[in-house]
Amino acid sequence: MTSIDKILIANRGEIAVRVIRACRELGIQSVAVYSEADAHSLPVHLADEAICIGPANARESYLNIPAIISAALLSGAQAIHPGYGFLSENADFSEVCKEHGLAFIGPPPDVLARFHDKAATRMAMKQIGVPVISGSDGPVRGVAEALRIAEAIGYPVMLKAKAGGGGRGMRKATSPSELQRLWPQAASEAKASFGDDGIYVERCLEGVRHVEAQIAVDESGRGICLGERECSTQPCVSVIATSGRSSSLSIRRTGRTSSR
Amino acid sequence: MNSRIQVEHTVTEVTTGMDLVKEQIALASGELLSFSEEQIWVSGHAIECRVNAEDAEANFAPSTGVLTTWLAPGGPGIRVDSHCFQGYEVPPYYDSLLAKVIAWGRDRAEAVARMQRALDEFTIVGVTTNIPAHKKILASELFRAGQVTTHLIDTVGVDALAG
Repeated sequence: MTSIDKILIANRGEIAVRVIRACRELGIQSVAVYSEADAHSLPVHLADEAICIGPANARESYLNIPAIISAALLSGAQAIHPGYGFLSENADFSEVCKEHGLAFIGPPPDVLARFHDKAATRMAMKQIGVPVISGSDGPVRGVAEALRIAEAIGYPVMLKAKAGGGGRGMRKATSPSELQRLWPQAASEAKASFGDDGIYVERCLEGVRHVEAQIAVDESGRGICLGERECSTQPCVSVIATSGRSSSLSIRRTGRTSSR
Repeated sequence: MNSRIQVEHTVTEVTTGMDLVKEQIALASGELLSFSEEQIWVSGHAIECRVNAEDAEANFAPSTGVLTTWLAPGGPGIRVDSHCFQGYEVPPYYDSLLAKVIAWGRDRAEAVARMQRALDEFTIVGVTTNIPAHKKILASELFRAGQVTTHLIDTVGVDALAG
C-alpha cells in the first residue's frame, strides 16, 4: 500500500487538466511539468506546483525521462500520472519510476512491454482463448511468407507494424501484387517511426464497427470491464464521435480472463 | 489495445457515474477494486467529439494561433474537457486537440440532439476547427440511423465534410 499525497502529471493539455482535477477532489497535491512553449497553460495555472522540464520539442521535455524523474524527486511526489500519448505506454519509463520508488499510475513494466509488441499481444490473447482476427502467428519473415498467409486467410489483408500505433506502418492490400508493392513501404515506415521493421499480417475487416471496452485490474489480479464504446468514425481524419452503448453489439464475455 | 487511460474515458464516466482517473489513483495506491461488474450501472447514452484545431479544407492540416474568442458550451448533459481559454495561444508543437465535448442523454437521440446544440453554441475564433465536420456527421442520415461503420467517413465523404 503506497500512500500518495502528491502526484506529478507527465503530460500537457486537457488530460493534464483532467488529472489535476481528480487530484484536487481527492485532496492530493498536484505537480505540473511543462515545456517552455506551455509556460502560460492551464495545467501550470491549476496545479499546486509547476516545474519547467525543457524546450518546446517534446523529445527534450515531455519525453525527457531524466528531467521528469528529477522533477518528481525534487517536488517530493510519490507517483507519476502519464496521461495518454508521450510516455504513457513506455515500459522503460515505468521501470525507471519503479527504480526511483515512484508509483507509475498505469500497468507494470512487464505488461507495458508485452503490449508494446502487437504480434506478441495477439499470440498471448490467442493462448488464453480470446478470439483474434485471423492472421500470422507473430511477425512475418518476408514478403513470400506474407503472400502465403494472405492466400490462406483471404484478401484484403492488413500489413501492420508490430511496434506500431496511430496508423503508421500500416497498409491494406487487396491483391498479391498490391501486397508485394506495399510490403517495403510498410516495413520502412515501421522502421522509421518505431525503430522496428517487424510486420505481421491480419485479415482486413471492412464495413465493421470499431467497438472498445475499458478494463481495470487491481494488484490482486481481479479485473472488471466498464461497458463499451462505439468508435467507428475514429480512424479517419481525426473526426471522432463515440457513444456509451454500441447500437449493434452485446459483448459476450468468455468467462475467463488472463492471470494478470 | 491501449494500456493507459483512454482519450474517450469520459464516455464511460458519464454513463456510469464513475471517475476513472480517481480509480486509477486508488489502484496505484494498492487499493483493490471497490466494486464488481454487477455493480456498474450504465445509464443512458453518451457521445464524445474531439474538437481539433485543424483545417478540413487543407486536408486536416493543423491550425495554430491565438484564441481571440473561446466560448465553450454548457447546460444539461454537456461536459467539456479542455485546457483552452480566451487569449490562449495554440502552440504548433503538439497534437491539435482543443477540447472534448461529451453529450449525455437518456437515449441516443437525446445525446445526439444535445451534441448538435452544444456544437452550435461552441464559438472559437483564431484557429480553424473540425466542428463543421462533426456537425455534418451528426446530421447525416447514416449516423442518425445508427448505421455507423468504419466506412462512414468514406460514405459521407471527406469532401462533403470539408465543404
